[in-house]
Amino acid sequence: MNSVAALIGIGVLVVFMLLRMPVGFAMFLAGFLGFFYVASPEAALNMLSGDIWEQFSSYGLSVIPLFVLMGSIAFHSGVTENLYRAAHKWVGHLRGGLAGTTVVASMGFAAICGSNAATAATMGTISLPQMKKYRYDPALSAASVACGGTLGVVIPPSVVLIVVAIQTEQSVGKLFVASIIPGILLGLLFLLTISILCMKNPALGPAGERASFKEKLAALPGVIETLVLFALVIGGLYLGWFTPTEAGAAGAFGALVIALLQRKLTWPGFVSAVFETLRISAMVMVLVTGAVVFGRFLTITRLPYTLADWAAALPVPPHVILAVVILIYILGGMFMDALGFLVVTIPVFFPLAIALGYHPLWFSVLLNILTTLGAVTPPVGVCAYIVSGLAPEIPLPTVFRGVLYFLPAYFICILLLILFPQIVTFR
Amino acid sequence: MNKLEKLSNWLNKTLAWVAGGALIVMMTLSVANIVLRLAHRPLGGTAEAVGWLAALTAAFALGYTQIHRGHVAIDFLVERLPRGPRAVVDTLTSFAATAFFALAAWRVASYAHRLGQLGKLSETMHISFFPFTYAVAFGFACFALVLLVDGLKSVKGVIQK
Repeated sequence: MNSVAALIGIGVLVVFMLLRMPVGFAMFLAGFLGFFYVASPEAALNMLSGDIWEQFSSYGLSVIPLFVLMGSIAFHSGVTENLYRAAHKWVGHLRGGLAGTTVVASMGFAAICGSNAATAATMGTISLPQMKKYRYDPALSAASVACGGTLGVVIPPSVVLIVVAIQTEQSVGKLFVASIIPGILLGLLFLLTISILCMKNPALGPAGERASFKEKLAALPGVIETLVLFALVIGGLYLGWFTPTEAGAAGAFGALVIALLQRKLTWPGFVSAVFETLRISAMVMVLVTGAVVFGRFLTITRLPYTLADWAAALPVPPHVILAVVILIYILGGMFMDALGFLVVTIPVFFPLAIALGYHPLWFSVLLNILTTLGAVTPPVGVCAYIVSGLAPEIPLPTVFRGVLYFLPAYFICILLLILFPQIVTFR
Repeated sequence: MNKLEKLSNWLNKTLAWVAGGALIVMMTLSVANIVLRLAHRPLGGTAEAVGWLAALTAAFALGYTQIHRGHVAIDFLVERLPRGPRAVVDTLTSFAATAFFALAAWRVASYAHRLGQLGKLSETMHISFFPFTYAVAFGFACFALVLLVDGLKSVKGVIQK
């Protein structure tokens, strides 16, 4: 009976979302109405006030605005230009070097920024005009920015990983560390993709001028601040010097100090960084709290556990069920924002994965990569839209065509994670 | 209608400035706590204060985020509808959201009232924190106001159609 109510609740949620109700609102409303029906009106009203206050004033969730602030300050203080210049000196002379530069610089920026949209927007502003100047294939140049942007949420710090960690009651620090190697691996696979493409067809990405070793060394100081900040935040978190909130605060403060010392942050830039942080944080908080309310409704119906028990008892190997889950995430990611899709589905699929014996860290990292793929696939590919917006001469279908070149890299990365889970778990 | 929209925009923009201030204080307080912990001893109750500031940061930014269409939505289906039906859908969802978040504001305010009446104190600093709970309720009320304005604008779209 309760499972039927849960399925109706999920149906109502989907209808609300398809009617363009923001995902967070839809989860709030569907969860509240479901709880109202299954438990009691009084319980639903009490749950609503208690959950809102608990989530909004949670010390654990205060990490979100601080990490977003760190990325926003870096975005508005021109850190990206230094990263791009340094990466260009080192790999710009290779065939497809500018596309490679974009990916390497995106990896660097992802190390201090937790958002794929911000990474794509930042890198695109600098690299798209350069690639146009050197007559790069529009599909390759656009896709290198869009796919490079997706590294923003794979390489820590990552807003998506923070939310996943909080929702699944895992350590933010451990999840960050677990995602470092997969993030670098994905970036390297992108570089390999560019090399193979440009080897087969040099016209796609002509080689640039070679920099001398002296010039290469001279470009490095531009990236040292970023590396120091990354080492401070992730190292401090991993070594237990900071709580995740403190790591976010130290990162934001460090980014601010670096920007001020370099005289690269103006007052309007700082205000924009703060207001951008507020918009992202409020959006994430509504999503997370909505997911908590919807999760409570699912919990009292016991649907996730019933589903997990049922799937675990199926006479098929766990990898078959995993393949179905992967397919659901790839398809879901195509239609929904990564974070929105994750918060909606985690209450159902996370207990299932654990019941099947998968490692929580491994499954979380896998989900993150799967859903970030949705940021570059049609019809709702945020990073693809950003690139097309930055370079209106590159139509959206061309961006999506370019993304096709990079899809094997995502799938190889996912396959490697499945074959060698120790990439994430270290055991 | 215009006056209501102006009031809503002014109110939510003002709240966003307060939220920005709370964010900066939250960052500074956390860093100060790290430094003091390394140098001497930590500031007592930092976690509680950071939690309350985080509540202000998020709740006071809700309306501002809605004004800037910052909440994630799936629009590929509704975008394909003709203008009239689209305005009807937007009207219904906006009013449903307005009613829900107004209810949420009222419930959080009632919760704050109960906390005040019971004289509930925080665990570390032993101070009353119900004013922050009221502030969150106020943030939700202002958010509901933005949604109401959105709904009224959609009604205008339906009528014009």
